[in-house]
Amino acid sequence: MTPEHWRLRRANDRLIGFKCRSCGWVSFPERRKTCKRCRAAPAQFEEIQLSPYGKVLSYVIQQRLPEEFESPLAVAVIELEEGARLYGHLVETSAEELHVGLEVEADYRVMYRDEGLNVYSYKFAPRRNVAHDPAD
Amino acid sequence: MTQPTNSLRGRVAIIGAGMIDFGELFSMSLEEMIEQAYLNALASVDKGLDAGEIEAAWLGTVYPAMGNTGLVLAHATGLFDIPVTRVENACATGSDAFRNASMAVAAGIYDVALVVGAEKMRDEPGGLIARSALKKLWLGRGVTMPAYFGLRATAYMERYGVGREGIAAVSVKNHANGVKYPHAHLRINCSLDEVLKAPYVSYPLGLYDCCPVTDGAAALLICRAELAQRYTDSPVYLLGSGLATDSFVRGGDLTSFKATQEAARQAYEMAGLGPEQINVAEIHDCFSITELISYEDLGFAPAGRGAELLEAGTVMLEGERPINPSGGLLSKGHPLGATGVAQLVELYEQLRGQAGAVQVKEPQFALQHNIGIGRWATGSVGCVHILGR
Repeated sequence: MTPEHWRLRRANDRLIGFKCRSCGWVSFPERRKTCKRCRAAPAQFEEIQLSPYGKVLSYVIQQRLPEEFESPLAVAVIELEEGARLYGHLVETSAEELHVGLEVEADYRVMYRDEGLNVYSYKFAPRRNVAHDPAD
Repeated sequence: MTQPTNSLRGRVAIIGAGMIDFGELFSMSLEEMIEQAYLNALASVDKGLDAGEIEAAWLGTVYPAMGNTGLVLAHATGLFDIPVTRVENACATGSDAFRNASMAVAAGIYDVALVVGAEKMRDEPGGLIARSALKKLWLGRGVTMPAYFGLRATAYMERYGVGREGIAAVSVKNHANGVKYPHAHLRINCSLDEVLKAPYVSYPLGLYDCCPVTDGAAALLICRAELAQRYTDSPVYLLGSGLATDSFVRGGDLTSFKATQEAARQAYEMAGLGPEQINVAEIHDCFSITELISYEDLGFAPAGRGAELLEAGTVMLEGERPINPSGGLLSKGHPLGATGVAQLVELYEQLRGQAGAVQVKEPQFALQHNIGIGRWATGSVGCVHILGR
């Protein structure tokens, strides 16, 4: 495990984020001492467990990529329920299904191999078992 | 906001500008490109300028080859013994090199300075796309530049109900201009239909929505405004300058670039001008969508209505406010560090009435806009300059 992966292991493996007590901004994946939204310095961050659920804010379907990627590859900007914004590779979906607002869930996968070892973290798949609206 | 006590307005003059023809320049090294752009800038000074008068130089280049420092400019030009500084600020590198040189000249530290922007891109067959294969989780792994801007295009189309054809019109306009611009890499026309039917690079962006991979270099000679008449009877003055950064992790919408908005606000405020007074602009069109969004961020159109400027012909070469008369990055190419400087070279010629086939009718004020993406596709930097006769 490289030092960079080791530093971010809780984010990569368990989706741990940090919420600014001043403005509510969620820092992910790094834990830092300043807030990138309200400029609090030093900021007080509260550790939070991020939900694996989020929605697609935008997406692309990439056709031209280096060989180590499967293409076409769908990549999205995803916002998790607590407001953390991140890039996610989409899996188990199709061009027809993709749309802005699609609900997705994090799925623990092999991301790539590094120095002969698998590096695991999260990709995102459409949320298949959305809880029924109580009003239904 | 308080007014800056030390504004750059009117304190720096451009007195020479030159560039090389952009393209796939396999026969030229980075230093040969820098050397030729420098010689072209020197030769452009109306009343002549001796190399010995250059007191400091700035080099803007992005690719981080080991040792790619200001020393490269010194070796390319023979300008040893003076301060040479290399600047890197993503795709806004060339603009920031000019900005730093201008601040030093405005401060009175130097009378005459050289700015060169240059990039050797085609020696690496994979280009920037190969650099997106990052072993970095959560940062831009797999987020190529066509993906970064494609993500903006999808969001823009969804939010404002604009179709791909509304975005593609930017490509049609800029390629038509590029055919007339002698330094452009791609001097080809393309129809709306061709843009729409081209293979996708990163849906919703197709091949003609993307700028090519290009080698190039461009150079500017600047001096303290009081000294300009020594070198030319028609200098171009720097009136406003702005630079700002933003990140997608901060939140905010995906249909605008806050870094551009903030940089523009700084530059307009410094110049004491508004968007309605700008006669011609070179805008960062690395992808068609970037130009459309930038119309709005720079105040030329309300949010979501950038495409109307194309429909109405406002931004065409013969229009009321031509944008990217040079053909922009889409046809000229985008040699990262050279781009901002080349935009300024073009506007220098426009303001002096020397732009040839792409000359705009007697512009008084010109705006240059350069945006960059960095920190593995999470952060952005915007840079805006306003020039006047």
